Amino acid sequence: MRNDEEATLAKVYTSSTLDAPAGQVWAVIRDFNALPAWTPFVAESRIEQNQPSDKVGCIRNFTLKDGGRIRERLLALSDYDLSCTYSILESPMGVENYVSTLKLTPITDGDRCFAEWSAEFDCAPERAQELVAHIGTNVFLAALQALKSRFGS
Amino acid sequence: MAVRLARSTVIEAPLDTVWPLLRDFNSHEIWHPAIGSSQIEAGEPADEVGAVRAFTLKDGSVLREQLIALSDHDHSLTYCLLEAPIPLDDYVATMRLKPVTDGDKTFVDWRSSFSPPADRLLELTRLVAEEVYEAGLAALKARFAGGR
Repeated sequence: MRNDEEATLAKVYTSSTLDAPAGQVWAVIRDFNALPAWTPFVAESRIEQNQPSDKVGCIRNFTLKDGGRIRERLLALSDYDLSCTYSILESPMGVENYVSTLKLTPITDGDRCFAEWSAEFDCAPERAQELVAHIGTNVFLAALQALKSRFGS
Repeated sequence: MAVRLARSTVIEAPLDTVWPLLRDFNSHEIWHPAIGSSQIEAGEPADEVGAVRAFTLKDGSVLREQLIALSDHDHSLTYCLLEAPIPLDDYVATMRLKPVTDGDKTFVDWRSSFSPPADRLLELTRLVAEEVYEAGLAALKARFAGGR
């Protein structure tokens, strides 16, 4: 935990379009334990205490390919809005109060969907810019691009 | 019975280019192919929440709609129908823009809810979906084709 008083509220927003119907993409990403299957940077993942991966409140515990370990709690899952919200419990990134949402919306004039991934967190002011760039590009955009290629665009 | 509708598209221009047109509550006479002419009543500014636009369709019908929310933060506007020649009770619609950050594009989502009489439900739902939203979004897409 940080013990100095100064922290910056940082926000990240990354979005893209995917050439597949929202329902088909949702089937891949609604599984809170599926990061190794669709993102390029997660090596392995498990849900703690053998809970179902769509049980709100469950915790995923995963390792990155670079060795970092992250624990995240599922805060909300909506099969109606096609959205998933989670918080970070532990990570090597130096972020506090991190809450993120991944959401799909159909693009109705084609069999496509709009994917948006956003996050808010507190961090040391001098690290905000670097963290926003890292999370927006190396995490969210990298994962969305992997999804794009998976669905053939 | 209440109907909920949503139509959306991606416009090949950045949000900063598209929003200035759409936040103008009177601009539909410029971009929507079904609109003949439109004016804001009582000389109010088109971005004043509460403003009423009175407009005629190319078929001669007269409608009035009121702006009930406008957000330069969310890039969204919400309006309701005050008068129309067709029974679209409780009609409230929201148009919202979002940036597509991995390209200079804009996602446009247009949705509404309303309560048509049961015997005209399919007809009126189709009318709103196709002649208002799909036609309007297609015109916007064409207008901004090429990035501006």
